[in-house]
Amino acid sequence: MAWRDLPLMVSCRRIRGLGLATCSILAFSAATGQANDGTLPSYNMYGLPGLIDMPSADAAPDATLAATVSNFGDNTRATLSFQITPRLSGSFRYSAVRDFVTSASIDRPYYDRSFDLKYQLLFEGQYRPAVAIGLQDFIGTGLYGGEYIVATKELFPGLRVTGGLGWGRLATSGAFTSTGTRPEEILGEGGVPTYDRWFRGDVAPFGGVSYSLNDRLTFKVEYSSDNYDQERDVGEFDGSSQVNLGVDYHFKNGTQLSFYHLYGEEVGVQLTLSTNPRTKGSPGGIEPAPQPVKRRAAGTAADLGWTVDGKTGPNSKASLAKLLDEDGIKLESLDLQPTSATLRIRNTKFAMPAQAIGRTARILTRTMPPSVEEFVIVPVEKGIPMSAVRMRRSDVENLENAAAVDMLARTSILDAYGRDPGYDKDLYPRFNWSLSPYLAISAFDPDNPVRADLGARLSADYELTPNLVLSGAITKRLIGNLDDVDREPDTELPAVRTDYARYADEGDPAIERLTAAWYARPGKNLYSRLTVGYLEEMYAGASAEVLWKPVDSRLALGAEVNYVRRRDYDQLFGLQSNTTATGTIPELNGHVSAYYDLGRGFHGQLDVGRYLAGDYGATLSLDREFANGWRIGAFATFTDVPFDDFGEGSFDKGIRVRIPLEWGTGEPSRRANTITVRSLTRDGGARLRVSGRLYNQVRDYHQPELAKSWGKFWR
Amino acid sequence: MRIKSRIAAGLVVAAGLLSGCGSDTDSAQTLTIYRDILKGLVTPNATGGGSGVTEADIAATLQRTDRPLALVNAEDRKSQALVVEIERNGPYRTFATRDRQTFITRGGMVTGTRGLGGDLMSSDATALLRLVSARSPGTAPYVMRFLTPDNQTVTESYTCTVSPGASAPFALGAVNQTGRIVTAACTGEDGEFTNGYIVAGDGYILAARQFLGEATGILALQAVRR
Repeated sequence: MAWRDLPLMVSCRRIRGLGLATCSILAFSAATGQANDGTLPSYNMYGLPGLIDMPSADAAPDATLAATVSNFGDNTRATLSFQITPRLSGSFRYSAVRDFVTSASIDRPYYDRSFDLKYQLLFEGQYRPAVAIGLQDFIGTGLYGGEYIVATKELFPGLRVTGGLGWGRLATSGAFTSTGTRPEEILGEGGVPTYDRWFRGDVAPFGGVSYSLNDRLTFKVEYSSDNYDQERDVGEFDGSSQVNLGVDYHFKNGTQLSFYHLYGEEVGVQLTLSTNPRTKGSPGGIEPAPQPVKRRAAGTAADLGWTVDGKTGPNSKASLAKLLDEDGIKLESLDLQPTSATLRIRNTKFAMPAQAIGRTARILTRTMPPSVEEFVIVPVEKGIPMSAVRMRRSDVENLENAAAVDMLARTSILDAYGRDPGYDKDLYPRFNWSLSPYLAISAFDPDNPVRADLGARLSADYELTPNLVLSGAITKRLIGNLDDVDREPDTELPAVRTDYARYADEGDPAIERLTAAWYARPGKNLYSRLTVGYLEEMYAGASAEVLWKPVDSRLALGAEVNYVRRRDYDQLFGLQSNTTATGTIPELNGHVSAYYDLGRGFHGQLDVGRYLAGDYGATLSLDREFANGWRIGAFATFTDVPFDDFGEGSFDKGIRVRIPLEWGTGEPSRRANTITVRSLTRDGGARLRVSGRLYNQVRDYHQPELAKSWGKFWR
Repeated sequence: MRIKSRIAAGLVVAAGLLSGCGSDTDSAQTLTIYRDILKGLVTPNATGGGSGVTEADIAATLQRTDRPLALVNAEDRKSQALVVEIERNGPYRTFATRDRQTFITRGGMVTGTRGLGGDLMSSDATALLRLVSARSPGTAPYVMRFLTPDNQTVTESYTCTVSPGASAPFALGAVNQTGRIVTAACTGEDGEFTNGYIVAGDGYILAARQFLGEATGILALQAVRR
């Protein structure tokens, strides 16, 4: 029985009867008017906004992440595209061409990786078309290599017209002029930007029209300037027309399903899934409400009687610990003074540190004696006090219902050095263990595009003190083919990574790592780590790191030095000589690093030093980071190893995506998955994979990061 | 959908835990409010089935506690709950379901929510509340703040035109008095909506029917006991 039918609730019905029931939302359609704020474009078979096989000048909304799989004839393409900024997008593609006979693909499909960049020169205006310029397959061997400049304009509602000029692959049909000569030879060993070709050679026009009948259905027709020359030469492509037809169906959740008729001969199908770390997901989370702030009764703040009764202090601490525990926050110690409380907490639940701090502050108002006016909250990770967040209780009382920035303005985020109240000795030692499945994937090997192992991992930590941790993990493979590699390691360098298949083959079960780690604060702004033992699957030794990071700084500097010994292939306790068939692995390697929060959600990192194989060089990383924990970025490593010696790919590079678990569930969790897609595993530019590196743990509780998600303080 | 079911589940859970009364001896200051104040407040739905709050629920709850109570109806989510006041902070009162979803009110007007998903994080409603409470016509600024999926605070600013209407009897639970209907028609860059209130002679809002953001939609909160 619904409440409104109850006779008791006459007034409720009366509300309705009197016309309040029509207090409806008159207009809540999105009224904001940015060029591409929210409307997904149509994606093409290359996984970019476009027509069918040709690009358009449409851009996706900022931060859109779209995955596309398309197939026609012998061609299958899987593309991940990311709208890096409102104007710039990047794409990574893995494609297979069947019946495409080359020296690298006898008796099996030809697999190829490619990267694209596209830049929006103009957004569409009332009279002005959108204009974009793009590089297709601009790194590497360049099967899909081409460049374009393209314009798109909506002429009538739903009717969009696109026209462009293509170079390279996009000028293999209908070329009408040329801009210089396009070189054919590959730079390096592949894997370097093909800058010598860009916008050179034949130029051909392409274009098309799309008509959206409604939000769901779009019909498209295009004229393609791609003749599929190589596929005709060495494959079995026999297209007879440059006109392609298609229809898109857009599901409500943004998924696009398309069917095409291509090049007069083939039928194509495409599926595009999209999401957006910035705008999708649960706004604010669905976790239970926080404890409400308890305001002190007037006049009680001056009452210090509790300081002598011997009971109030311990009782307050017990209540504090209990309420914090209910919110997944562990109280490690409390220094309760007549007018201040300094406490050390370990956050086990909230991905957003500001939320852990806010919940702690609320609970303090409910538990601390009234004379306590100052709260100092010291969050701890790996036993290291990361910062000291100081606030006035009066402000917490007064600003509970105000904008979160008001509280931020009255909160001090200080270096915890010298402010740490220590930890309660009865909490340690502490033992944790977990048994979980693991999935190890190796993708993009030309012989076998995806290989994987599925197994079980038993992990355990024994914390002697909060900052002295014995830690280990054992893995047992249940099923998989990661060891199934036919290629002999082919390297000119000491084999620091290329014999990974042998480790995968013989290491079953394997001691993945077994270490003792000591974390500390050597001084103000300084953080340190010392790890010894079996550091990772392939190396044992010692790793020492120090990080300089002022609590309010966007800049951090770090240094790491490692002493490594090569482990036995069986990944048990034995070690083997560092000398490999192709050279000796030096025992010492290490880096100095600079980390910088560039603002506007971008983060850069530069590591300079000596890599595992003894090569010297630098790794540059650039990530777009979101305040909910998503990170999408790319990295590249350049060392003094010549491209010829490095082998296929010329240098190490890749892209990575970090997805926080709570983004998907809406429930608080500190867990996240990072997926890294990189070039073939080679020996140049390889780094030790030691766990517990400092920077990302330290910065979470520092001013720039805390402020980014401060809205969660009151959530 | 998940959120909707959470509200509904709140009542079910509350009912299920009814027999779990303990003897927690914490002082009033330190008590675990969600466990202790709310324990056993809502009786099982005597008529069985559905997530609606019944007349019997209200009567039983009134007997079990002497705290202020309210009835919440999330119209767009099609779920109802009886909520109990668990805390006051100045003019603000926090009402909660047993499932730790809270509604913050000021003078009977909803100024915030927690635990619904897409929560109204805070409001600037001082001027609007003054007009509505006084049952006076006029215009007032009104600000609502929300979090985005990227944890950024978005501020929606509106201008509301307040219009007093007819008087209306209001009888629900322990409340039985006559108020006046007051509407607030709000417009801003983010959209338009009209909130409705029944305001008692002393200025307290006995019933508020408000738009609380795209995620929550329209929600009514009515006094069951002031």
